[in-house]
Amino acid sequence: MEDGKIVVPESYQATNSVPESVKNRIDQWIKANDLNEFGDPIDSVYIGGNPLFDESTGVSKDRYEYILSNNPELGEL
Amino acid sequence: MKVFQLLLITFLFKVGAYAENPEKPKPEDGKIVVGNSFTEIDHHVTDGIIVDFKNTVTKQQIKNFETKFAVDYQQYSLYPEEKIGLIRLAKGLTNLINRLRTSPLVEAVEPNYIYSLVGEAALRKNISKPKDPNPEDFQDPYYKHQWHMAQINLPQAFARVQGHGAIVAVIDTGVAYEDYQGFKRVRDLNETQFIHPYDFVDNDAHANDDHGHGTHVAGTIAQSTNNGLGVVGVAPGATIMPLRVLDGSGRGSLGAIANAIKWAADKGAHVINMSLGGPFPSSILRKACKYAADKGVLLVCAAGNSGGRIGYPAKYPECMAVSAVQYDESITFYSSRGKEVSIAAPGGNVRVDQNGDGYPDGVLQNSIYAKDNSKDDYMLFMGTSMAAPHVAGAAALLVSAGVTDAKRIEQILKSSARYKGDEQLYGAGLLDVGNAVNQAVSGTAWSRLLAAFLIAFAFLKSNITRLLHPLSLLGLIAFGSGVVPLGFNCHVDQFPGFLCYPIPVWDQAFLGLDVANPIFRSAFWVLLFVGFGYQIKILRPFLQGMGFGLSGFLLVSAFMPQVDLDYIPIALQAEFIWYILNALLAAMIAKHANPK
Repeated sequence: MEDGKIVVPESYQATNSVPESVKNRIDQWIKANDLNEFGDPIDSVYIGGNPLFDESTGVSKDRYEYILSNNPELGEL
Repeated sequence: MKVFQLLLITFLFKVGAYAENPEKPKPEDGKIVVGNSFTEIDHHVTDGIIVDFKNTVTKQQIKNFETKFAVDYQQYSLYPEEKIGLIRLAKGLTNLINRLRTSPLVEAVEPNYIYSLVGEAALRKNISKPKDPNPEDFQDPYYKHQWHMAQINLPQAFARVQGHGAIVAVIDTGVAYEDYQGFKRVRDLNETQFIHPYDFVDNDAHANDDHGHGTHVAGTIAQSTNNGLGVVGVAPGATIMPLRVLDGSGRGSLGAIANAIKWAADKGAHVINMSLGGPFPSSILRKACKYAADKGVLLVCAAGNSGGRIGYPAKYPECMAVSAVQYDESITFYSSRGKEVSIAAPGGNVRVDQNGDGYPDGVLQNSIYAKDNSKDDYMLFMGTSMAAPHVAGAAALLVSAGVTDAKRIEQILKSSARYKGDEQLYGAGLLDVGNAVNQAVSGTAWSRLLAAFLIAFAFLKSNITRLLHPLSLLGLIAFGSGVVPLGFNCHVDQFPGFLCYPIPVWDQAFLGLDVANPIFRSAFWVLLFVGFGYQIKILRPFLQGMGFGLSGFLLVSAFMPQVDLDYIPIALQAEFIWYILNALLAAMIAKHANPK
């Protein structure tokens, strides 16, 4: 059996490039659909309690970017 | 002597109803990228103050607050409803903090430490040197990079217990525990035991991991250890119950978690680890937590990675909320905080290399690749998800040492932790599993021994010197403390480890940790031995010693119960009364067991 190797996270840089107009649209969409602040159903549960924080890389995502990654249509209007 | 025999017969009649090296990968592999500088916290530099307002505070009240203290408050937390924000200022920090803390609107006020890029040399300059892993402690070649195991003082605990007999449910993304339809058991769980798996996402009996998180968590708890491979776990003798509630994206629903908690409680788990959570409370989840706690299961939860308030289920009183520290034992930037924090444990920080071992300071365990579930390696993760399983593993060690009462386990973990100050960050302090096991095994034993001598002194008064007879001491130790206080460093959870324990808990050694027979923990022994051995004069010193030893054992058990007694109701302090009455009975018999 091979011994295996240690895998090091490559990057932890977060970005924040969502325009204000899209942010406003996302906030309204969340309110209208009774979602949690991450744009997911209200009963959602996450690894480590926070979907914005990636424990395998140390990356902290921007909340709006996270929502857009799951709901790309919100950025297209 | 007839009195003793009559007592014995009566007692037996009354209680009859109870009868029952690999080398570091080469740079050309392209897998290890370690820079010269990392983001690090400087505890001497701040750019302002973090203020945590109470939930009930309105926007208008915050405006009034800004006016009153002449400050500018900016929302800080990811969660808008949390009302955690920043007040920027350059001077007069301490004075303002003290003033703000007087406001009835705020829950907490603390400096906002700056995270900045600094060189490694500068970084290490101000770090007190924590204990580093000694590669000779384990036969697992990557242990030298597991600073987190040294931080919790694992080798000291490992000399005594390894978790055998304890069952820990891992409610997570599943665990890579079997070779099944493309899934593979990871190499460093090759000797780990598994029981009652279930997948609450796909509703089948194969809780395989398609993410990697759950396997990493399970590894911290029970990685196969001293197997010549990779890394170590806190309690490798423990049995893991893999329960999958989060999908490959790391998300799940409260309903699945509630079902998994009930499953774990019904299937005999002693400890449940939940390195997950959500921002909202749920009556279903709360009910499930209460159900498990009422069944005597210890719930260990990650406090959360928001840097703000603690989420659910960690916030529930039934759960031990675990915050995360890094190599230098300071709280991590991401660790959630609040009065609900029970204890701190290593969660790591892959943005720094404070120990200078050439790798980021994450928690190192064996896990799968998220993109290829059939491949595994040694992954450096960071998060309160990584901190919680250190505590769950420690709890498993205590179970293995015979402490199965969940409240007592929590009490020992907290009282043995290394106090770190601010309880909203560190709770009772930093987990010290060496101290915890020591307290569970030796600490209690010494208490029993002391109690036995005090009781003997109260009953024998001037005749106390009789207890110095070697046979008296033998009886006292065998039934009161076990041999542990004498310095024997035996593996109490492995054969013949039962010899380390006092005889009244041998039922657990032979019948399993979930057994706690009240007859074994009563004056039964002294009635039995005195009833049949009193006629043999040479045995009388032993009988007296065992009587007082047993009395000491029972008295300490009344105040520090290690287990929930079978058949004895919890209500009306029945267990406490049972122990006290039996302690008195044992002492009274012992007093007369060795007359002049």
